[in-house]
Formats: sequence, C-alpha cells, structure tokens
Amino acid sequence: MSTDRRADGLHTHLPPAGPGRVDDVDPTARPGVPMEHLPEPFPTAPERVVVQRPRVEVLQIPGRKKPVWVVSNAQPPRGLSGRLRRRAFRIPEHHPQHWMLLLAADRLEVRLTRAKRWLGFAAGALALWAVLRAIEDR
Amino acid sequence: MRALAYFGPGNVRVVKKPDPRIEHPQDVVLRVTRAAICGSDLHLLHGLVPDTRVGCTLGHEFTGVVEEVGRDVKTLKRGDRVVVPFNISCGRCFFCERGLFANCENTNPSSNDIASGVYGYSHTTGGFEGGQAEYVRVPFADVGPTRIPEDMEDEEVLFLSDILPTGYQAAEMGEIQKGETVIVFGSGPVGLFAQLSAWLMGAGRVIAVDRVPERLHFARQFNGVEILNFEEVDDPVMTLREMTGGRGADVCIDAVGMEAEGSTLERALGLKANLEAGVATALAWCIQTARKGGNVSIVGVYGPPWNLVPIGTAMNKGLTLRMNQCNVKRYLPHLLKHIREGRIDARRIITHRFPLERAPEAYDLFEKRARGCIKCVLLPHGEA
Repeated sequence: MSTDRRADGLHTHLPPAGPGRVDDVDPTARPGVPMEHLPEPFPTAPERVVVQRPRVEVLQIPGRKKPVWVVSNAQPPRGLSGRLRRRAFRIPEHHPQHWMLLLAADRLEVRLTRAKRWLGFAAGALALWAVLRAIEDR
Repeated sequence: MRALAYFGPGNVRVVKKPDPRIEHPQDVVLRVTRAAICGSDLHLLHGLVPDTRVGCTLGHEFTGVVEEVGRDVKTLKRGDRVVVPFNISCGRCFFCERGLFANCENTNPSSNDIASGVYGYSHTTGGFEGGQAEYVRVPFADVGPTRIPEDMEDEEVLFLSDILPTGYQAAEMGEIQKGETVIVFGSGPVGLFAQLSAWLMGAGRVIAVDRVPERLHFARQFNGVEILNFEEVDDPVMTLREMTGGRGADVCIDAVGMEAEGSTLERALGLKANLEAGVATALAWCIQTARKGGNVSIVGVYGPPWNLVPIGTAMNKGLTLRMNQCNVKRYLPHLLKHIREGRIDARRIITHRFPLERAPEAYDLFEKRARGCIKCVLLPHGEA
C-alpha cells in the first residue's frame, strides 16, 4: 500500500495518522500494556467508602461475599415479572436457567406493560362511549 | 427531566422522569450536553441483553456539566465539564487496583461475571440510569469522570467515553507488531477506531470487513484501509485468506459482537430461536482468518450464557484470544493527547445530530445504517 497518502486522495483530512505513522509501535508506549498491572489504588479513589443503602429492592447475585458499594434505585422488580426475576436471582449465573428466566421476565414485563396500556385505552374508550350513550338517551 | 426509555424490543420513547439526585456521598449529578448512541445500545433495543427492564434510561457515552456534587467528592466542582467512561469503577477494589476498571467488583450487584456497573445497560450491569437524558447520576465521581480541557469542545472528547478507547484497546490486545497485517471485522465506530489504532501501533496492512458500502467507503476515506464487502464475495474466509497470502492475518479484531450478519443458520439459532446468545459469526471468521499462532482480539459485545464458536480451530491453530470490556480510564490521558496533537479527529465520525425528543428517530436511522449514518449524537439541551 502506498504511504503517500495524498497521492490516492486518502487521509487528506488527517495527515498525521494512517500507514507509516507509528506513534505507539513500542508496546511500552501503549497505556493498557500489560492489561493487569501491579496493584495500586487509583490516585484519586476515595480512601473511605460508605456503602450505599438501597431505597428499593436490589437483586443480588448469589455467592457474593459482601454488598457492592453503589447501587441503582431505578426500576426495582415488580409484579409478575419481578417474581420471575427474584426466582432467577436464586440461581447462580453460571447456570443458563438464570439468564433464561431473566429473558422470560423481560418479555413478560413488556407484554404486561403493553396490555396495561391497551386496557387503559380501552377503558377510556368504553367510558367515553358510555357517556355519549347516556347523552343520546336523554 | 426528559429521558429516552426502553419499552420493549424495538420500542424506545422519550418520557418524563424524576430528576436524578445524589444518592451516595461520592456521586455527582451531570447536566448532559452530548450523548451518543452506541452500536451496543442496539443489542438492548433488540431485547438481547437479559434483565433489561421496562422504563430504564439508555445511554453510556456522554459528556456533561457538573450540577450537584456529593459531600465526599474532592476533584470536581459545580460547573466543571467532564467526559465520563461508560464503566462505573470504585478505583479501590482488587480489579481496579490492577487497572481492570471494567471488571470492578463494587458497582454491579447483579453479576460477578458480567463486567462492572455500566450506565444505561440493563440490570445485568447494575441497572444504573443512562445518559440519553437531560441529567444523569454519576457514582464514584473522583474515579470515572475526566475534566474536559477548557480549549476543547465536548464533541472532540465525547468518544473517549467508550468507542475510541475500545477501538484502541482492541488493537492493543491484538499485540500488533510493526508491519503486521490486521483484519478488522466491522466498520462501525469501534471498528473505525480499531483500524486507526492499528496504524498507530505500526501495522503494515489493515483490512476492513463489513457489508454496508457506505461504511466501507467511510473507512477507506477515514483510515486509508483496504476494504472487503463480504456480501460481494462467495466465501469471505477464503477471500481473506487469499488476500493474506494463504496463511491468514497476524491479528484479527472482532468489532461486531452478537448481531453479526453473514450466516443465516447462526442468525436463526441466535436471534430467532434464542438457542444461543446472539450471533458469533464475526468471531468465527476471526478465528478462521487469523494465521496459525496469530492473535484474535474481541471487543464486540457478547452476552451470557453461550455462543457457538469454533474453539477447536482456535486451539489447533495455536491462537491467542484476548478480550475484555474496555478499561476506559487507563486510555483517557493517552488518547486525549492523540486528539490534542491532531493524530485522531474523533469528531469526524459524527454524521447526525438530534435533539433528545427525536432520539427514537435517531435510533431508527442508526439501526438501519440509513443516510450514510455512522454515528448519531443527541443534544439533550440543544447547542448550549
């Protein structure tokens, strides 16, 4: 391949990069080498960490020795799908059943949400129809 | 606030939600200025990631301005502009202390095996709300966010949140030696940055493989790579072997992940019948087109519980397989320097910008790769 980047119309917007440019050719210049380095805390990491108390139910994978330090309080498990999720979280994650149950819970939650929405529309339409009917009857 | 929320496969909507608040002393709350849609967001959109709950806010690539600061935060103050790595890391656990920020054990209660906490990426990664919203809560603010230099714009550094370091780590895990041949499967945003990083690491030849002509054309323009549209050849593996002297490439990079095209059988098994976790065709092609003793680097996202992968071929060829979610924080200073010094112009891959209320349209465009779409960016607060 040509290293004359202008000759073939390529790279005209980005002159310093492309074939022939070898800024990080030395592996020691690459920031992730080695991927795992000797242990040292991140310089600005907190020295003392308060463990966050969840405001809602947070499902924890079995086998965890201690609680994690931060959690999300968004979308706690609820309804029928929540029951499936709780059941899934009684099974360790190396068992496929854990993931299958979660996927099933996802699909169930979507269908129930949709059904609830349609029921809402239907109830509204029914109420409107009843009102119109009552007006007509007068 | 307004936020983009998930309502089932193929269904995302902008809804009103309560503003996020400080929930832990090391939190900050950001006013989001830019939020990108990632290829891996499409896996969520398609319902492929388990424990994606109705109503969750998506988005893990964003920049913002600090609005509220938790009482124990020391390095940020109100008004600071920051770019935020997609992984939430404590900076102190066994893994963070070894540089494996993507594997932090203190931010994801839902899994020991699947990554750290991640913004807007299902409860499988902790259920944290995402950044495709007007505001977002950012835990461990002294560890993740990086202040944006005053002379730089948000869009110049937005992709330091994920796709640029992910592409760079992909090339780095390939252990590219000077002059080697690298095949990058996938010419989406991560693939583009993997190609560029391969050049930076001294590759002698870079070949981009995809099926979308506009993306391949863009890759050629952006990175000066050779291109192969696998839909235009009978057998992509044979063609790539021919292109690499019959032996295969020194390094193959999977920048595609679980929704690869190219195999009707695998798509039927993985996406229609759900008998495997998506489709691993790109990974199979990596293994089949790498030379004996070569390296395969995986940054395309795969999920639990399993995939059909020709591991026997990999074993018998003596391949080295390397993979991880990106340890974004390790790459930020280095790649920021590349951007400042003009070697990487990440902003050039942005092809479309949308206000937040048109986010579903942006997803649709990005999903269909229509109108030359490479990367969509959302502007939750307009241009300001």
